[in-house]
Amino acid sequence: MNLRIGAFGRQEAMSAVWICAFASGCFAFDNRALFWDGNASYPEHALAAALAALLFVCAVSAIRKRGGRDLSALIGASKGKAGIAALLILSLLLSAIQPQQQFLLTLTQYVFVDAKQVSICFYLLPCITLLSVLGAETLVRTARMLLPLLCLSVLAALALNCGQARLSRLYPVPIGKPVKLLTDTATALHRAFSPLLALLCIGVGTQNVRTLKSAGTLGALFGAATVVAMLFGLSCCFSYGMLSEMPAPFYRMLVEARTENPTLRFDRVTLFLWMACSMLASAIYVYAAGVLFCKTFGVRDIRPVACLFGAICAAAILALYYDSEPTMRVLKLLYRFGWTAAVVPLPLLCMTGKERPLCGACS
Amino acid sequence: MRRLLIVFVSALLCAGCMHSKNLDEYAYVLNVGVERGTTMPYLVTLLVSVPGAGTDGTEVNNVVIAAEARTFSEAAETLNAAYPSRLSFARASLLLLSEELVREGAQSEFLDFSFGKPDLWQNLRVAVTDGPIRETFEGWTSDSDPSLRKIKTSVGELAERSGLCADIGYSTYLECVRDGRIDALLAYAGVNDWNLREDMAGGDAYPYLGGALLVESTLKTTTAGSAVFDGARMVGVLDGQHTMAVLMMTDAFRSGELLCTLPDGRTMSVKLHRARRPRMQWTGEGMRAELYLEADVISPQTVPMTSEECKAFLESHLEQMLVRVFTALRGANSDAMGFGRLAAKRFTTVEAWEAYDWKAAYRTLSVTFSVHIRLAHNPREPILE
Repeated sequence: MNLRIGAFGRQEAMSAVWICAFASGCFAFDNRALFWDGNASYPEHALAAALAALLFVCAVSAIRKRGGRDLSALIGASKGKAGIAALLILSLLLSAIQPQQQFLLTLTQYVFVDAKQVSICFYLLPCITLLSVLGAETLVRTARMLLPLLCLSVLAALALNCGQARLSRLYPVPIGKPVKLLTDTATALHRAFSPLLALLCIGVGTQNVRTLKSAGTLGALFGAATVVAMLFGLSCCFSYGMLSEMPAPFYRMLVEARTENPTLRFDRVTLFLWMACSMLASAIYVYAAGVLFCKTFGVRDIRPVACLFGAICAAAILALYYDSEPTMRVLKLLYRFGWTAAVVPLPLLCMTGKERPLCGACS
Repeated sequence: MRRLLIVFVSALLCAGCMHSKNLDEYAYVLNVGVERGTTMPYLVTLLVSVPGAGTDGTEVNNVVIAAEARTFSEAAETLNAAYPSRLSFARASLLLLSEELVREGAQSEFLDFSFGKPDLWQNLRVAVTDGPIRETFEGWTSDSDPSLRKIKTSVGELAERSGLCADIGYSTYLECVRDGRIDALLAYAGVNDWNLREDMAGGDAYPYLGGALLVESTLKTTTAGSAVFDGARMVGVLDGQHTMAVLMMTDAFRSGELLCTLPDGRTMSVKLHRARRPRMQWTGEGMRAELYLEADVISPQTVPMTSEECKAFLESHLEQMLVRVFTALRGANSDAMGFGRLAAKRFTTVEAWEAYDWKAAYRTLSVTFSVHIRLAHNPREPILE
């Protein structure tokens, strides 16, 4: 098997989850849906992250009981594994598309204003496929390298915007609609759980299940803290009305901090750093989807599968450009209900299948 | 296979810039001004910096160009057609609106476009001028500061250091217009003509206002005070001292100099600093606003009061000023002090807040102002003694 998973430790796995959580949590596909009816994005994401971590811990326990090292241990033992794998792959690919679509929008709206989206696609999208072909070890070690820079940039972005932040912009807090809060939390659950799902797919690269569990939990915790801090900062900088109309709110937050002082180019530098992180996150999702596909359907080489999934993501993004309205409607629908594809199969997988006695190597 | 891949990737990276253009083929717009046109609805005036175009040995030459148009993009294209270089809005940092235009609220229709594509940043500083835009730009421009950069920075610093001038960006202005929780307060500029303007809150005979300052200078344009808005429509002007009072309430005040008349007729100058965030709360009858400040008496050296008396005098003076400004603002239907932000906290759904007519409630709102001053320095009773 040439799955190119390699071996990596807790720090690397945690960094990968953290970066994926940042990319998925901060660059939501549909800002209008997120903010049009008030701004409760930050508590919703915190709740969703807690649920995602709980689900992850349950899944890891089930994997451990079955004597496996990754998600394939659960899927392999279940009935209808092809359908379940297809749902999970769809969820991962949706997570890969989401930040890229947002960054392409940002680049065409604010950076390369004369360029067409399709021209920029040719520089971005092949990189994701190439990265995903390189394998898990390369991806997670790169994540480990990028993480300190990401943390620094997030702290700087929040600190620079302190001056214009107003708590009054958080109001009215839309707690009067519990059903909407729950549905929005479910949508956020997809964004919060995707990084953990990716880690479950490549979990065999970690030393053991215990490392997998701690890396995932810590990564999810720190990633969620970063996303919630960013969403809270964003909510203090812009009212819900402004946010629902903004094409790239996080970049606008950086631009607002831009004044006639040394932070002049901070917005661009940070944008490209965040873009690198999001490309890495998309590559991790594409690779994880590839691994899941290979293990479920017995394909022995990850490269053609990763190329295929990378091409599917690129095609979806290009379709958004060429055939904007219908594709956008389909993707928004998938985004809204993507959590069902990612989250619902897992409890079923955990509950079904035979348990195997624990062995020392797997504990 | 690997070599082929490397060649393919290298070929992608070798593509370079698409439709590249040299930097000196651009002319950079530094300021955008909008006023009423004579033939078309709007007259758009741009202050443009042309690198390397100086005829008198300078490296940068600034020109003021204007075109009448119906929309912003039409104005930009008209000026692009008439100008030899391509206009870039990437470095624009000031949006100046004429008083005539904003009194009608007619700027909203003009500014209703996506700012992304023309690369016109939403963190443009916004100001209002009472004179023609071209004259205002020319009155600001000097040989030592052709791009107005220092002047714009100093206006920002003036707002922060003295509180005598409002200073907000386009994004905040837009939020004020759309959200309706707080009305906008924009910097007020004007070409000096020595005619006193009328401050909507009354008070001093000499209002510290842009265009009305009693100064003689080669730079004809002055900036001070603020233009007050009700939604998108300008409803009046506040001088520097009254602007300071509004900034104190919106927590945009850091420090500033308050002038007040002592019982013996002398003018007392007091340096005020923000001590704590202002507090607003609902009471049975309306709202209560509390301000916390620190004060240093600068002059005169012989204040005929003890520190306690001085503190009480300042508190009372500020409370009276706040009531006067609030009454004037409420009369003009402008919630520039931002009481709407407190009103929004009472709602738990957006529908309920948006259905609520805050401005109607504001017209009958009563506010009790309470100022708490810690007197840090009174020349009569210096701390060192």
